[in-house]
Amino acid sequence: MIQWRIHLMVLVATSALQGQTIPYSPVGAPAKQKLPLVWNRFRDYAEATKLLEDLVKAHPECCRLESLGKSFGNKEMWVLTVTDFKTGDASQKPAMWIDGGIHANEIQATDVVLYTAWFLAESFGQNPRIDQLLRERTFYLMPMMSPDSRDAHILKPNTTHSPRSGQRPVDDDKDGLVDEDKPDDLDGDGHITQMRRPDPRGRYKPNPAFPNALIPAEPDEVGSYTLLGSEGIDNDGDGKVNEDADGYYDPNRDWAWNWQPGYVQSGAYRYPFSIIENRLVADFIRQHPTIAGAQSYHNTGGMILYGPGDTAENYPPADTELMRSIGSRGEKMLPGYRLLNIGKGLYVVYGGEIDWLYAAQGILPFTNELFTPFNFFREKNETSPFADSEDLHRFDRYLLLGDGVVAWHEVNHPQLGKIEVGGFTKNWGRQPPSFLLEEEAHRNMAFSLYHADQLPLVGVDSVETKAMPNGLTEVTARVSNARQMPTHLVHDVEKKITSPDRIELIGPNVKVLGSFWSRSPIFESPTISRRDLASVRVPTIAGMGSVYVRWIVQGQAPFTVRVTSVKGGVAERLSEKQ
Amino acid sequence: MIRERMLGLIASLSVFVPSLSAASPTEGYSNYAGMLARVESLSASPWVTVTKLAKTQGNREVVLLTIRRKDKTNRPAILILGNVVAPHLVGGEIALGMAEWIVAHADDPAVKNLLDTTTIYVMARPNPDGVERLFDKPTYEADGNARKTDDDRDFEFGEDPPDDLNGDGLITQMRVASVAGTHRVHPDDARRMIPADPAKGEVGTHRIYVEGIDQDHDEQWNEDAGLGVSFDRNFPAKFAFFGKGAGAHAVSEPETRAVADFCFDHSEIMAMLTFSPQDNLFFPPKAGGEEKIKTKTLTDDVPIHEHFAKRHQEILGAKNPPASLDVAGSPVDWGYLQWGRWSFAARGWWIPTKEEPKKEEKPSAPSPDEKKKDDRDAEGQRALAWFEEQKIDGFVPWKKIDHPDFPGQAVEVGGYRPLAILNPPSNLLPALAEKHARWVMELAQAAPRLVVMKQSIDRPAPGTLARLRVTLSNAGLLPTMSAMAKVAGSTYPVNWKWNLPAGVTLVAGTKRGQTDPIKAGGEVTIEAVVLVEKSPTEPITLFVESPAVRPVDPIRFDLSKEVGR
Repeated sequence: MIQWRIHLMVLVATSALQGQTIPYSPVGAPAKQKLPLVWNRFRDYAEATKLLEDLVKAHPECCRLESLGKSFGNKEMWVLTVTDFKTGDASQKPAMWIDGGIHANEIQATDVVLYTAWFLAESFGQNPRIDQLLRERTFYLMPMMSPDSRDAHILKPNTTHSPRSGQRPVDDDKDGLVDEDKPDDLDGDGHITQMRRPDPRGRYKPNPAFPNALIPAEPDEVGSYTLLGSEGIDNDGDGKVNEDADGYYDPNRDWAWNWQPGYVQSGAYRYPFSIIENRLVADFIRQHPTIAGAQSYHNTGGMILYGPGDTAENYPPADTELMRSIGSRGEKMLPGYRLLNIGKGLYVVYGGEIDWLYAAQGILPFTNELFTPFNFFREKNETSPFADSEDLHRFDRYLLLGDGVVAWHEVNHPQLGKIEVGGFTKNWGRQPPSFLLEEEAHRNMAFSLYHADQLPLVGVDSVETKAMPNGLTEVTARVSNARQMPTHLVHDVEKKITSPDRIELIGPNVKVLGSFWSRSPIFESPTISRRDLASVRVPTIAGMGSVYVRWIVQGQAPFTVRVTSVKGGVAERLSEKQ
Repeated sequence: MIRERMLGLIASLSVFVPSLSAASPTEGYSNYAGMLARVESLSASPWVTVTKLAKTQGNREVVLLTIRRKDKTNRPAILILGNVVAPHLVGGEIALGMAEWIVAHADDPAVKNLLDTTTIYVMARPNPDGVERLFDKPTYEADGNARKTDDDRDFEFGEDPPDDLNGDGLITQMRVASVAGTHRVHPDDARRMIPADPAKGEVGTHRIYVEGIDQDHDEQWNEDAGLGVSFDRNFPAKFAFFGKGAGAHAVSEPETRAVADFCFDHSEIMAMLTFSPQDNLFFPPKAGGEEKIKTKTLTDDVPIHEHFAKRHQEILGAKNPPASLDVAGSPVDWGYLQWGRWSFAARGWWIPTKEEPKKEEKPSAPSPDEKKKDDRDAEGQRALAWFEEQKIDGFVPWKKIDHPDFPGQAVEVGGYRPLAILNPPSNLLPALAEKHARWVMELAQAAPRLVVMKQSIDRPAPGTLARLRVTLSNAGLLPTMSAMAKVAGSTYPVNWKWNLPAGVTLVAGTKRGQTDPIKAGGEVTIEAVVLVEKSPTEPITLFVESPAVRPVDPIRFDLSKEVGR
């Protein structure tokens, strides 16, 4: 199976399609592809690295690759910058951060980011909407937040749920031995499944409809199996099975906002950013205050999540409304996905990544929980992140043709004797099946591109001059934000996270004698500058809103008005002729 | 041994320079170079290992002293953290002085016992950058490190620091005469300023500022000195995000990260003593801790804390302590609430109060003189009396200056000299170091200590099965795990492991296991049933250990010499 896919890839990559316009192809994909890739597969660290390097080689005009440093396991923390490098200063454009795979077992998160990188780069120069987006925005794409564990999931025996942790060894049970009792792949198939033993007094029985599924026997019924837990042995002789696997800490409980120790928030490591991979990311984001929007990919359950993670916290209502406004478009674009608050809709999280992005950095972030059980039969609105067992088995039988389940079979367990192992494979449960993976990637990317388009974008609409007595001139500018998100979220203004927008009057030999600004065109309640009169500071420009600035000057037109907004970009305009 | 004593003597001589005339508050205190020289002297001792944990932004080392017998490295440890608040220099001096005192008295039986049973870790100056700034001129009594910060969150960094307007090398205060003031001159003492009290019908005559000019013309004076991140505000317990001096996030600084990582890497540390104006030994915590996120000392841990608080008060012999500093993000709170260790904190010293003469039985009518006395600002009065008595140059007399920001207003510069109230004359330091060392020795002797109360081998039929049983009790005062440590899950439980020789296999029980926490006088029984196929040539051994518990000798079960029943 794996062999066959590799052959196909080689075939496609070397075909005559490369670099040519496909005469007739489905809509929604770049017509010309320098790197014609298949998207119904997962890439390990080496393949993902190669893909990023290939993108930079094929599209140097819009892609740059850098490493933020090395992970605990000595892998590069890749960030791909995608923007139109010829237009504007990439470091001043409002920026969108997109990451995936902080929980490495949530495997398709990485592939969605890789797809986004590929789609943007390949579409640049072909799709006017993408061209505009890359003129206006800079994308920072971090496909692998936890690269060590990505390879661990792909290359070592695991379940669909492991490893959520990074690979730094931790003595979970505090017995003086580190990572000494991991699950054991008793049948050597690469999947950690379940163990059972036939037992005439067992409390479980096979589901008559799906014999590979076990269900509890009725209270008055004799069962036929006893469940023995996850595939493994008691490696250290303490009477417990699989109690100290690789890790354990949760990289998404390590972020500095509302961080709490492990007894409050299971998975917290030593202190905020005590996990090196996160610290590298946090340092990068702090050094790039232009990042105004962020998307973090997880699985599973089909959710578009927004903060706060803690029900005891409240965001200012206007910020929440904005998240709901953008997120509700996502609900439309992602059938089966639900827009939810993390704390109220999912569970309470302290020290989560997007809480820090918002509360410490003033960024508008979402977490998407990729893949929804709605996708199995597209009939019912799911409220649980996981499909019920029968639907999983039904889907496996009719659509996966048995590829998602390891049928129960006998193994010799060194401690338990003859037992049986079986259950779901590690690539099934949280991940979409092959034929839905590309759809998952595309729809989520489309939502993040919409989100990126809604980031603030400032412009100088008009600069008017009017002569005043005594040789003075009145210069009035209207400065607007053409998008939905304000240049500063309410929380950002309250906590003074991002410096104010500066609106400057520039001209040769101009002397500014006074200046003031207002949100009203007739200058109601003006704010009068006290110092630095040429450069007016505005705390925020509302989404789809304007501010009006007036300078009283000595000097000759033309004047230039320049707006510099950390998260809203830079723009300028010359004064109109009188 | 003579060598250690000599070292101690040399250290004392080089540091404590006696002074006869009015002294500066930091006279005899060690700056960074002085501190390193003392560390260098200590490193000659066979008991001491010097480790450099981190380099700060100011390119200074965070120095760790390990004091222990080098052949006994598996002992429970106590961590001593000095000078977590930069101007609280006395804390660092006492911490380092304790190390010097212990080394110099290594032959004393009590100290010898300490070194036999305990490892002492000392980080006298975890924030060397912030402390060193206090030895520079002008001296400004402020906390922080070498990171340039935006203290007033106006997006400019350090744009309005204080200024030494009178050129005396000190940042003191300004009092500016004002028709709409907030303060008045104390009626009994023209040096002291007190807040105007509307309840007394008072209107202020002055406004008080830190010495300096308004560099950025925002009509705030010295609001942003770019003071950096305070070590004492950068820990994750009760961390105040966006707070002044707190840092970009908890544990953002090289020095806090180095200290926190050291702590997590050293599971043998059972307790820490921090020197800080946040004093939980004269102000022991009240019971609490029902909430999900703990902010108080748990009820079961309070008696132990209270005992050591009481002993600290008795040993130090001081009275009327100033209020404990209320601070968010301190290592003291973190040590208990998150790291899960016993976390004690001592101010170490404060200006002593004069013994009040006992009041007469019959209240006599106050004399007209006494009636006039205004008892506001007793602390200021106490400080000025102390400076006079000790010949400390602790107060800068108010003196008029011309101030560009207050044209036409009477502006005077003066007030308490930086560091003079927080820190004692250096000749008091050796006695303080000894007292705190004696307290630490008591703490060390309270370490959890497991002793075998009962041990038995029970063989129902010769040559078949053996039931092995041992009951251990904790003979120390401290439990093997505090209530908070159990909640936090941050310390090691007591782990045990059977070592079975060839021919002996386990029938019931597990090869390894863990016990619940064992309180003072508490008991725990470990048992196993083994099958003896052939008489073993060596005894069955049970190893019991926990890093912050005194080492337990291997417990041997010799099947050839059956004991008990």
